[in-house]
Amino acid sequence: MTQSIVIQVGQCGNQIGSQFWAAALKEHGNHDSSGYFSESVSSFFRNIDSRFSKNLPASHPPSKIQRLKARAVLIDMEEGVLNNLIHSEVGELFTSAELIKDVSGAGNNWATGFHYYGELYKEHIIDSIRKECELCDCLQSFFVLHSMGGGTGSGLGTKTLSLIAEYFPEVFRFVIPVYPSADDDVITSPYNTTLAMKQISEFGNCIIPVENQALAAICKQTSTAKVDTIKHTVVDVREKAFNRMNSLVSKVILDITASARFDGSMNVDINEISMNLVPFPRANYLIPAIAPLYSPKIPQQRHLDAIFSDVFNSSNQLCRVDLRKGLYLSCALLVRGKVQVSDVRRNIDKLSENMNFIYWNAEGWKTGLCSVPPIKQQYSVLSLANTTAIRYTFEELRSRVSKLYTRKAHLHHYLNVDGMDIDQVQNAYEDLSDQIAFYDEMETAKPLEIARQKVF
Amino acid sequence: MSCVAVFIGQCGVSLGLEILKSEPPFLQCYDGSQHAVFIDTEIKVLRRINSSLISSNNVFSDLPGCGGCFAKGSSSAQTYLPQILDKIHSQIERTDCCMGILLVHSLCGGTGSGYGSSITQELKSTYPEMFVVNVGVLPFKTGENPIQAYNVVLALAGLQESSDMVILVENSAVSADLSSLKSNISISQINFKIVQDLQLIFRNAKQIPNRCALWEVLKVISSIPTIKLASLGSSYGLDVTANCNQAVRSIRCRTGFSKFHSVSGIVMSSDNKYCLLDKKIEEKFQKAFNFVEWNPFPVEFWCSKSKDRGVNYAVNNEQIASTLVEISDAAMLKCHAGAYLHWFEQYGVYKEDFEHAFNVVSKIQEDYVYYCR
Repeated sequence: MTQSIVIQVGQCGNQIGSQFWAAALKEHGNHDSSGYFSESVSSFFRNIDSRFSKNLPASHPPSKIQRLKARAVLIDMEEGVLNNLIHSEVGELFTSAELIKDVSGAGNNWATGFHYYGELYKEHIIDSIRKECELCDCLQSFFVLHSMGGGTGSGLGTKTLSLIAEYFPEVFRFVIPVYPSADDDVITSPYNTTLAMKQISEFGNCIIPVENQALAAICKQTSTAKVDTIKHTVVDVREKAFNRMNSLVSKVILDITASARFDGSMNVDINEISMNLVPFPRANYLIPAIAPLYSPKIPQQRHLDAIFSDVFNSSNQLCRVDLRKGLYLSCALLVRGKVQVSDVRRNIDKLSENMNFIYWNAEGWKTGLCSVPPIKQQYSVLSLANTTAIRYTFEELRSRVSKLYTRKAHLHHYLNVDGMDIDQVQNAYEDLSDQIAFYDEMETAKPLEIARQKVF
Repeated sequence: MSCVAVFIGQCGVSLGLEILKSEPPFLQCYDGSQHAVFIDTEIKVLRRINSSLISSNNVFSDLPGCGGCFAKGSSSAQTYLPQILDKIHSQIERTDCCMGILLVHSLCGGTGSGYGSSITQELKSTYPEMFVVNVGVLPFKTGENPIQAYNVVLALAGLQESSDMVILVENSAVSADLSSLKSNISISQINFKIVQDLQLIFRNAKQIPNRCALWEVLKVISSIPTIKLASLGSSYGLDVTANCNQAVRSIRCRTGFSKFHSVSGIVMSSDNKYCLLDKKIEEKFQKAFNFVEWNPFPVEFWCSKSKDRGVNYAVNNEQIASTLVEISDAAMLKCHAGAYLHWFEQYGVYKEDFEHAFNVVSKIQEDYVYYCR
């Protein structure tokens, strides 16, 4: 059984992480409450005998769980979030060796995160990650969680990504970056996002972008709770909303790894997601969408076929793109629960009629069937769509950053950091344009006339 | 007269568990176990193996995942080949007279196609006197895996070179057969139907007493070395006449309603009394097969004893080549667009290997046309 390590960087990354670890524990506990350290639990957790600080491997037949520790590395340049995490209900999962923290923060500046803190903490980060890797039998993937708009997440997060690409090239790198909304309160977030994008495009194997505004819209749609603003402060309300948004992202990670952790009739290993959905190194962005979406307070039973069509609605996407405007390069459907292969086939046939796949990948579907559903649900579907429609998101980002860049506004904050120069900004801007041009090329690609011998 | 069976990948292992339940005679060992080796990269599927059915000596699972990619499977197989061959060899030594090896695997995944193809080539060169037969499972036409076309074509190129007979099972055809009976079909039902279709190579028939059924089928079907693709089918659960009619209909579909010719075929009827088929029914089958004129004895009719009443058939028919050409065309489109090639190049499969594989499929089509028209 393979293991994955979660690397959470910055405030956003760590907050998503805290929701994720709680959800992962709940899921494993729900699946098998006998308390045995099976191989599926070992994919994200270690079992240690705290008397001797000894790592107990997952054996067959499995041994009892003594104390679980998360396979994680937590990085933040501000203490607040990490301290909250350690003192929360999942705090016990983390050892101090896995925490890398500082006091002053990165000031929403990518250059500070990448160059200043990157140089300062490079050795420490690699050491912590290496120690975590050594505790795995068969490490298959890293999940890197960070935001794109801030300083630590975007800067130090992408520095960490480049380091793991250099030191652990064989391990697959899944990046789950959180893109800021258009009305983000950080003025320099377009710079941070563009500079970070160059790094993740180059060093990430699979990028699963999520957008704050899409997550907020989903939460609004599924929430029925009327928040009494007299009783709750604005901060409380915001916190509850962020928790729900973060739990959506943690669901994506759980669904991607479900087939690797649990049994099913059509297993999809984590490396298959990268190798089967990424036809070109530049085409590594996969848009996530999940169905069904409902609040636990008002559970609705959606019919199975409705779930398959829901997952291609823009209101179910965690990063809103208009799928009708682009071509699909490939698409994965990871199904969990009691679903038969005939149901999947029928729905794929139905959906394919309205979906435009690129000419050379008309059958570009990847399907996975895992028999264990998520908690409190009968079945669920996660779709990962590799579509050229994401170029519109990138075009929007480019126009936001050009407004600042053409006037060189706020650039001095970046250029003042040691190791940063104007070329890096220029390169990142050009790389964004190249990415858009690549998707343009895909959209206008036509089949060559292949001369084939027809034998009659 | 024994054989050794090797089950590779999730598909192969699931089919293998189903096959061993029916206890094929040529896999039985003197001590009650069966001559089978299970190879998979994921331990989960192998855990399902009942320990009374098979001992842990027969399980090989210490492998990294293959990412649904032939190239990764094939390059990973090169590293583990010696150990895998060791396991297979130890099974061969436990047989009294090993005639051949049967491999069961899918052609669209990474482990099945990559390992399957590499192991077949290695086995044929290590044991030149034994026959090697592959059961290759072709995926659903739309999407189990975006690079399934690549995997199928590359695997088939390897098998065409080394295997003695390739039995191609099409998921879509099996599922279509089942969907006429029920609407909700699971993978385990598909597996059950596939194993039912394969019974022709497992059961002892009256006409071939004390001989290995797999070898006999091989002799009839794979008479010409360059055209050795077999399609198997069956019809169970109805009375004799209805089963035969269903089988005839199925054969006619395979021959495109007499558009395509068959080189050779076998029909086996099973029931509890060893009944031979009626002359009229035999004629119906002959007509349905649409045999080529140059083959004086194209068909054999067998009967076997079993508690399930049904009819099995095997046919070497040119239509299967058209299916392969379709898959090859889809792969060619991708190859010319350069899609996914960076993954294959990372593991040592380059454009020349793709061109070679396309040529092999083209040649198979040409040979079928030559012999069948």
